[in-house]
Amino acid sequence: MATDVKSKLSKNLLRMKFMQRGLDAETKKQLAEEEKKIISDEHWYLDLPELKEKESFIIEERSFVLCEDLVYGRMSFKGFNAEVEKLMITMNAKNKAEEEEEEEEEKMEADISDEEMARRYETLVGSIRKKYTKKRDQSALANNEESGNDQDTKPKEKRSRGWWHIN
Amino acid sequence: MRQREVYRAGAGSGCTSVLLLLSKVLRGDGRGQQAEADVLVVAISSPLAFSLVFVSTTLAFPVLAWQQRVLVLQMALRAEQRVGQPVLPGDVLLTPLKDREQEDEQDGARLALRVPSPTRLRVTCGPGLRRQGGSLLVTRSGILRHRAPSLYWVDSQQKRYVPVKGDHVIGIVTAKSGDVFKVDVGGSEQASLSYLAFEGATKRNRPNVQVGDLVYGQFVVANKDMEPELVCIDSCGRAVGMGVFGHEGLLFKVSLGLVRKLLVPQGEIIQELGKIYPFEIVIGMNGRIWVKAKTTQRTLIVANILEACEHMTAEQRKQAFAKFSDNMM
Repeated sequence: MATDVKSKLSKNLLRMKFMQRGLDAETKKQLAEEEKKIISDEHWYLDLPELKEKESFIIEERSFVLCEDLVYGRMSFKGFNAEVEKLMITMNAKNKAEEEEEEEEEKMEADISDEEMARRYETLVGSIRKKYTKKRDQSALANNEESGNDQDTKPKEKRSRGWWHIN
Repeated sequence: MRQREVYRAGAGSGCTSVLLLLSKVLRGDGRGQQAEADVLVVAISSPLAFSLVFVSTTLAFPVLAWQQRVLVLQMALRAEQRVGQPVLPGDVLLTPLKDREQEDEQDGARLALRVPSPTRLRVTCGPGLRRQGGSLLVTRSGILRHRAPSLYWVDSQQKRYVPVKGDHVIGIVTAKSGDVFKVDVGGSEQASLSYLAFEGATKRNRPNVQVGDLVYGQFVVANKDMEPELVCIDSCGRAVGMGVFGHEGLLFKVSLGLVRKLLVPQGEIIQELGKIYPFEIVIGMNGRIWVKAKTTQRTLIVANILEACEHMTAEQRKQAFAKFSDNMM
């Protein structure tokens, strides 16, 4: 009697979450299959041929300003409008600065030879070493290098260190 | 002429593709659309293929004439070969090759089946050129210009302004409607200018703009199908010379080509004019120029000189300027 009642329950009801706990494996499988079928039937896709060219190598640009490097359109001459003349300088300076930077970059690329690079690194190593050595060592180093004639500087250093220094 | 078709044999293609192309032409595209194609334009890039097609079509011409068709043979060149030459709308330019490929072509080592190289040169096409598949289509008549590394555009003469994003233009305020001003910029449609797009403007503090005022602004929206939109501030919110200007002074219109000539960096015309006497000038990319000098007479002189400069050569201009500055002294 109980099984009859169970079979009469509608499918939609059985698909609900709380009804699935009591279901056996076979009916569960059946329901899952049916659901899959519905999803695949209702799945739409565009029937288009694949795009041949994925990436375009042509960029469109509609403005003459960028093509011909045109300047800003407000100008004043011989001090007619001081504000605009100031503006002209700043606007033109922007362009000039960019150009100069580019030129400098080009020069840099061309100029630095391997020897110069090596020399630079030598000095760099020295300066970094200085940075990490302690202050006292540094002064000692300096004294060694100068080797005498620095009697005037010594007392000054002492003074600058302050009265709490035991030296 | 109902339809214009372009057949193209690639630069690296051999005789087989040329013959295939010819058979296509004779058969009417191979799709049975014989009646539709009345004019056939064949654009071929390599000189060898061109001469081959030319010879074979002259032989086949009676057939074409019988089919009531016209065959136009057109030599499609690489863009870099046409630089400095006049181009016409409808011309097809092939995108420039990378150096290695160029060498290949010069060597004559042509492969029948060329695999398109994955790293092609990036090309920027400026005004007057449009992207069409992998090649450039000319849309304006003029002279093809090029700037390194790979920027191509057509230097054309025209009077009608078409709004372009980023251009600085002179507009005339024609209406105030709620939040926006309508501005006439000389394009097909009036541009809109928000009252908040001025330096220091807030909802409470509205800018003082009246109908009939001149504004110098920049396009932020300029699409084919949309109303263009102007602003009078840059991205940082500063005016940098934009906004309402020009009480007194003279506004006149010149061709767009002259405007570009005037705005060239270190342009001779403007530099020489600036040496004569003090004046102020505002140049809009839409062909409008506003000038103001100390007297009305002087303003008119500047305006006349600028208008006259359009069709003068550099030599003529120098003579005119010399004469003029003598008179002023």
